[in-house]
Amino acid sequence: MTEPAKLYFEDVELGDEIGPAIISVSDDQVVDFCSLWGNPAPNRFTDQEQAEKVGLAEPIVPGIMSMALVSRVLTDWAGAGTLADLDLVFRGTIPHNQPLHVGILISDTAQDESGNRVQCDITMTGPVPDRPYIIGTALLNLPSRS
Amino acid sequence: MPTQIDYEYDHSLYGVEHESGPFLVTREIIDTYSRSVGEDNPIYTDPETAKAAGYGDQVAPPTLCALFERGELPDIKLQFGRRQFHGGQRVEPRSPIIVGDTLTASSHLKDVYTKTGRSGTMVHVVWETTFRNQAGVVVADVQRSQVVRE
Repeated sequence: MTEPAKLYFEDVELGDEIGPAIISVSDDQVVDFCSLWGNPAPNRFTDQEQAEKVGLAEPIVPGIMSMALVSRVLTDWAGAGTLADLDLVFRGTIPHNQPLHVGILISDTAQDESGNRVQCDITMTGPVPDRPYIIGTALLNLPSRS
Repeated sequence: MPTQIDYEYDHSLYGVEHESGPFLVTREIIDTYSRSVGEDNPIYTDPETAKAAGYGDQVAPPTLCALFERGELPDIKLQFGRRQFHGGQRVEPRSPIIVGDTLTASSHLKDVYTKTGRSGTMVHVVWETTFRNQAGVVVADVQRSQVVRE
């Protein structure tokens, strides 16, 4: 049996704010991700000394891992299979073991023959809200009740 | 038409496709990826739920293919800067990636452009990659922006 969609196009309005979802990334998660990515530890993402060698204050979360985290927040909200486009700009290095706030702002909605589209602005911030680690946009296709 | 910039690089790379793969999407890859990013949606973690939802088997989370984009791409021989970082990433999922799929990637240099801000000039090098499955179906388009700074 197919699970019912948990979010419909009609549930979303321009200007809605979702979250922020608060997540964090542990050292072990980054090690696992890097291993899968073909970039095994130690490296600048997992090791203090390696990070300092390339001018970083501490090991950081890889960009494509932070993208996966944003994608997870979006599909947790909207449901699997809904993400059509995720376009992110990495503006700051993301530390391990710190709260990361992922916010979603609905910037446009449109319903036509190509689907029920919801455009979102995305931010990921740390302790300083006006200095985001990530900004970007996402496009989701949601089911309709009609 | 590439953007004109003041720094030399290898323009002959435009219009050339660089193939990589095959990349077999195993259950272990999907499980490890999901675990490492805290993904617990059952479509991505449980084959039976995925099948019940109409998929052939466990589905890969939508940005997983970016893992395979690390393949060696040519040096554009940019005559600028020393430090590089990952400036941005775009993923457009086109079709579900299912466990057991074998993906191939076709990458090309999309653009090289500059931006100047308070911290100086940065050159953005943008590569675009199309992933196809074993049936030739496009499953995702991915853009990666590498930033080089002074």
